[in-house]
Amino acid sequence: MAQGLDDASAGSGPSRGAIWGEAFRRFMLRPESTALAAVLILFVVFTALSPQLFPTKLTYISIMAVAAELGIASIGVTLLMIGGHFDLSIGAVLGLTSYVAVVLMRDFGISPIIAAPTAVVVGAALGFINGILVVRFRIHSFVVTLGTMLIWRGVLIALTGGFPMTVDIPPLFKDVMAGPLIFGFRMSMVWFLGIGLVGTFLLTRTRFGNWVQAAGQNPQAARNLGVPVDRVTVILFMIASALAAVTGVIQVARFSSVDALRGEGMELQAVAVTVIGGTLLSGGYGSVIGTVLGAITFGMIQVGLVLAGAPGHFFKTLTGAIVVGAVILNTDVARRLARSRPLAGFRRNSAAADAAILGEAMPGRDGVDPTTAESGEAYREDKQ
Amino acid sequence: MAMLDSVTGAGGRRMKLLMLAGAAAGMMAASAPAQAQDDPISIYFVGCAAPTGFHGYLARGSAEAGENLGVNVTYIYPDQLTIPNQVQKIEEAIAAQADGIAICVFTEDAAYTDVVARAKEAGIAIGSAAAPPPGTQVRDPNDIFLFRTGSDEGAAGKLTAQRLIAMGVKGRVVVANQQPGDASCQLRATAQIDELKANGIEAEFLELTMDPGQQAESLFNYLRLHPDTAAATSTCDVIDGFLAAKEQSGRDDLILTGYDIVAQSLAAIRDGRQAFTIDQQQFWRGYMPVVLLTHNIKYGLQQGNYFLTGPTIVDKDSVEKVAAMVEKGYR
Repeated sequence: MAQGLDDASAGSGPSRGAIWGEAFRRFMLRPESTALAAVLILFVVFTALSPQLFPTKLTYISIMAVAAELGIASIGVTLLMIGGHFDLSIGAVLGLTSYVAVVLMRDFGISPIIAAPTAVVVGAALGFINGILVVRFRIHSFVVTLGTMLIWRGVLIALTGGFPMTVDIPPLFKDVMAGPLIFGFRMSMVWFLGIGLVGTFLLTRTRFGNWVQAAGQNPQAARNLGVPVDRVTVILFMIASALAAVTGVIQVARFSSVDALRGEGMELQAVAVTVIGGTLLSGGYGSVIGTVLGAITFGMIQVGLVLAGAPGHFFKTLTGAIVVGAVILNTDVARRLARSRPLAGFRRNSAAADAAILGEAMPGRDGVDPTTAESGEAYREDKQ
Repeated sequence: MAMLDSVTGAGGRRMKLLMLAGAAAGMMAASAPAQAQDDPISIYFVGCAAPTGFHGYLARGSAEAGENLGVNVTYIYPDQLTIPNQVQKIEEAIAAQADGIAICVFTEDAAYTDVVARAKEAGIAIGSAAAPPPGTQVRDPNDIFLFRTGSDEGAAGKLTAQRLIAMGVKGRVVVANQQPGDASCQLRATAQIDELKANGIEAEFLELTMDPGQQAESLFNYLRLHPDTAAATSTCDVIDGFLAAKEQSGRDDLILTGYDIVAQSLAAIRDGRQAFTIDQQQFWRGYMPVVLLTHNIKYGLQQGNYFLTGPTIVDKDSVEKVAAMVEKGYR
């Protein structure tokens, strides 16, 4: 770094080390970076604890199976949380929409091709109710969804009479939703990663994504700028509940059943996954990719503890401790990095630094080379 | 009556009326422990949890007993099963001026001593819809509860172990609990593990969550870690994850056992994926407390022996006998 600064003072471009350092610093500033770090750290730890079994394909399949079902629901929660809201009802929505899917298939003989999307639409409708209650009555979403959680769960208990229900699932539907078709990995992983990509695109490449982040950071300011905050909020609740329903459908396909407690506790696991993924509880900032990594972290904890032979009575405790550790890593490191100064004298949000990093990572690309006089000029301009 | 017949004349008629009134008052007094009003008897069943799965049978049993006996039964339960939460529910039942309260007791009596005393002071009959302490059958005269009705959970765990031993299980047995903190499940697990170990069989406890996907993956990986595992027991009625793990691991020889019989268990026992399940006939745990409370309130009757509803074993040989009742939610 000192070298880079010296070079900079001398008028030439920064050193390669400084550019890589700045690139790393910038990467670590991203919300998902510490979730990735958590994944890597846990991978190393569990591999050390269970070298024969942990770093194997079967383990990865298991991790992704846990991550997929929890992660799909968590992506909806993430978008909602970035938009400044909570949804404590997703577990109950998952259970209720699973019930809808089972009843449509079992009692009405409806094809799963119709029943599954119908369950997702019902989920979206339940989310719509949450959203309307929040924006219409200006009640905090925590309270509204706490209430609807109890309502949906109560309805599910009443409808099932408290008893599990089974249904015959056509093998093709089972395979498409959750079958181990991708080299042993479950199809739920494909849905999970696909939804993760769509969620990332939605959040980072669309106007709606900008609105979500703006609404989450400062809803009043966003309104003043013309963002339809209420509409965004309702849509986010619909997405969250619809994705909970997708998880529900996947579980119905996998287990051919629903019970009145299906999804219970998932709302808090989803919040944990979201926070591990770097999304702020206060809203306005977060990452769907981070949540994908957070879900993988959670799956890794679940599977890793078993393979490491952790004491059976302490699974919850250890899971909680690791989650807290991951969140501390996330928040503390993020806070420290946010205070850090850019390396090599670059300014924050520096176009010159972007060019230098890009050129260092891919020399010759777009003609950008940090060692050329051109980039050196840009660097100097940047410093002024 | 003979005395009434001997009284004649106007004064006699007056005397007759007085005696009739006295007799009526006497009869009312004699039925003091009984319901002194025409209102239907109101019984509150303070459950351990929402009427789902296992607890759904209790709720159904209590409701059906209420219908059959013509008494009002209200099933209430804490959102989270903690002692303060459940005691709060009992206090709500007292405040609602219930005639009788049945409690799904899940912890030691000391937790209920105060609230039971308050209920008794308010003239409310109060009993336990849970098993007596392991090994006891005759009701202790100093018991804080009028009755206890449930399955001996320690005996249930021991019975599971003994059946596994009888099946010739060799190797490791994993005993899993999806509801850590639930004393009944824990007692079953502990009793089973102790009995297995006493017979030289390695047994281990595994803590799980209620999510079937997470259950399946945890158990699947446990089987990878311990390929010598010969049997797995679910101490709760949720068996989906266990069945999925068995299929996923390709361990057709893995003996699965569970508790309570729900639709999934029924199908799995029929087709051999699950060896057996422990049935505690929990419908009775809902039904009998309402009977005992009603008869105590109406007739002053009191239990002499504790009423054990289980444990019993349902396996492939007996599953068809109970199948119809299972599907109707009675067993």
